[in-house]
Amino acid sequence: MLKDEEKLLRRVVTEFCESNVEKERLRIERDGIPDSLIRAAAESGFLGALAPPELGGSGLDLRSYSVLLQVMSKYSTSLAYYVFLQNSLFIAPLLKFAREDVGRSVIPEIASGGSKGTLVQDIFRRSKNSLSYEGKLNGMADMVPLPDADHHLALVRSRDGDALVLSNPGNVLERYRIIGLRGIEFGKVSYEGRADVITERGSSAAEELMGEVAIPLSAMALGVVERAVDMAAQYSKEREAFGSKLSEFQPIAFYIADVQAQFRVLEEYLYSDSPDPLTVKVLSLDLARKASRMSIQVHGGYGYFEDIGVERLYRDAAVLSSIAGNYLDDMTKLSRGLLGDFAAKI
Amino acid sequence: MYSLPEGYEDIRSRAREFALREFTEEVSRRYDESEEYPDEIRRKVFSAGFLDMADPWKVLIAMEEFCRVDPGLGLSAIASMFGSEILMLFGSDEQKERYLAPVLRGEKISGFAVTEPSAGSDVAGIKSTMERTPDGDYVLNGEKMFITNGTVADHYYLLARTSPPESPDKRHHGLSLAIIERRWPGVSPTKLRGKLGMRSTDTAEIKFENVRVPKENLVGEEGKGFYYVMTFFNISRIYVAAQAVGVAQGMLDLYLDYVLSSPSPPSEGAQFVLAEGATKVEAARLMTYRAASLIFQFNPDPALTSMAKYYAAEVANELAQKIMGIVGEDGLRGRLEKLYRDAKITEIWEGTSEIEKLVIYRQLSKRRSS
Ligand SMILES: Cc1cc2nc3c(=O)[nH]c(=O)nc-3n(C[C@H](O)[C@H](O)[C@H](O)COP(=O)(O)OP(=O)(O)OC[C@H]3O[C@@H](n4cnc5c(N)ncnc54)[C@H](O)[C@@H]3O)c2cc1C
Repeated sequence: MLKDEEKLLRRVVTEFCESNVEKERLRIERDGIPDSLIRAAAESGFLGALAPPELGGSGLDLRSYSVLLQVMSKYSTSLAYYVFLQNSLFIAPLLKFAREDVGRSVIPEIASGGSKGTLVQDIFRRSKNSLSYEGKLNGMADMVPLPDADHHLALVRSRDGDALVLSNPGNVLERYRIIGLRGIEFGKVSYEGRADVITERGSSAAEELMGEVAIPLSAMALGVVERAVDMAAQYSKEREAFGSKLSEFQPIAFYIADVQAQFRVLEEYLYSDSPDPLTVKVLSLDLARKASRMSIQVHGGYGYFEDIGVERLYRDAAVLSSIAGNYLDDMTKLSRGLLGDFAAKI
Repeated sequence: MYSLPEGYEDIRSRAREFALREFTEEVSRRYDESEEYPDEIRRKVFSAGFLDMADPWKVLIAMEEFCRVDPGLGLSAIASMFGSEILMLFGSDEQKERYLAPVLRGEKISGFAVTEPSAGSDVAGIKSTMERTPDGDYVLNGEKMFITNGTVADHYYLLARTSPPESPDKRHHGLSLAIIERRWPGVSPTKLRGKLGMRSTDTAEIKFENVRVPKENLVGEEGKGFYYVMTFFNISRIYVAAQAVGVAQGMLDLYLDYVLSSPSPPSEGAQFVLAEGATKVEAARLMTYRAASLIFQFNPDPALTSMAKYYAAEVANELAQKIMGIVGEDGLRGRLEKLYRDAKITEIWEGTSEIEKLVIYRQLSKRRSS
């Protein structure tokens, strides 16, 4: 399934996480990702994973990039999301839509960890859409990841439709954490300043972007699944109740085997030659929710506490399920791919 | 039993109003973040008359309605009497006077300490010991884990081994229940932080080192502790079922708000989530009330009680995952995400879902063979 160089990458990322992330995992969740870890991730080429070498990046293809995110998510989905945000939501759209003279020049800074990027997805918000662009970016956006980032890409309404613009930082009005990815700060930001238009095809750019994040997002979800199963399996072999190991009880063994079986098929499919992104996304997010719930259950009371490390999987699974469209949207698109454009309208 | 006994719909409305008034988002968030025990809320719940052990239906309905808004706060208040049924059923008059009465007056808080670091589901596997002294008192040694109200309770009802089992298959013999005061020498509770949900409830690990326990504090007969604990669980589980029904209903409430606030009419997919969820919540509620009505008539059916708890917890957690997946980004902060976190405990405490299923099988097969 994985090619040799992908297996090598998996080893490298695993080693990186074992020596830099594992011991920090609780601190990441409580206080955010330490700068030293961000620097280390930059030095290892993770922050510029998708950027070409001439822009200071590692030039990974989608499969290798997925390997990176999956492994990292096992150790800290917050850190994996940070890498995802810099790459899939910032560098990738710039590479795809930006002209040489506008926007691309910031990519080397991002890849080296010298500055941070973020994406403001205002276009997808239902009623709260309040950003607009008329030569200047104006208005307020909520749920902005890394609200203090140096560069803000924003999908906004403009006079001539929707646009993707690159703006300077705005004024952060509120900072908060959400249910999961606790290592990442989110916030409310007000913008009023110069911004450069990257593309005027905002809506279709957004659609394309969402299509392209499906596989990396699924890889992070599979990282959650892998960790949940590994921990449940390990614990079930150690913990005893009624004089037997938990793994000796059929229901417990079946829970673990069931999730593991689904994981193997999905992982195989994700790294196959042409996986359908939406199919992988729907199934892996579903499995991440199921696996994390199962793992808490196998851990009993201990599973409910953060120091063990399975409850965060349950919270992170909820966020992964929500950051790029929701279940009904995904199922609608999946149905339309199968049945035609009029499917699932009602 | 298809509806609540007369008068309880009024109580439900009062409990709902109380929860909406007192458990504001600001209050909920504050306790959830600080993980502090909400003593002020407990006092208010008591003054408002909801903590009335003489009227278990009232307590059950309050539990459901409180958990619909904020399970952590609701539970903290109601479980301030945790374990009291033990004394009502098996306590001596002196014990009732000394320990139960002040709890029922809202002056003291109780806890129920069974679980240990190495034994939760396997109650008979506990290792704490109470050894008899020559004067007939006991000396308690051991460690309890995940004890609700652990650092705030005035006393605990605690299970410990008073004699070794006669044989490996009789491990549930030789266990006894005693009342242990938190302030006694040798009792050291440590608050456990960092829970997924129910964060305003107080949870502690408690060490007992050579704690002197007067013989008057033994509950009932020596060696019958396991039986008392199981009898208690057969009652207390119904309150967990009510918690789960409340949490699930709370999520449906929020989901409906979300669907109705959308600028476009909901798709059938969105409608069915509500329809299916509401159907299951209603089924769980009816099971809960039926099992409760038998318990409250002193004729409990442990199989039904376990079914209600298992099913209600399943519905709450299934709904939590489904609704979070649909509401998307809007659900990642605020009441919905909190209910998602709080729901999970209902599958774990007072008998995990797996233990409930074992109880159900055991009861049903026993019936067949008798
Ligand atoms: C927040 C919180 C508050 C609590 N409050 C209290 C309290 O006030 N007092 C108190 O005494 N306890 C309390 N508990 C403890 C709780 O009751 C236990 O966590 C629970 O009973 C499970 O025990 P355990 O954690 O040891 O899990 P284990 O018993 O180790 O179980 C682990 C897993 O194995 C499964 N399992 C075990 N045996 C079997 C079997 N035979 N067949 C199939 N599966 C099996 C379980 O279902 C579970 O999924 C609390 C726990 C929490 C998290």
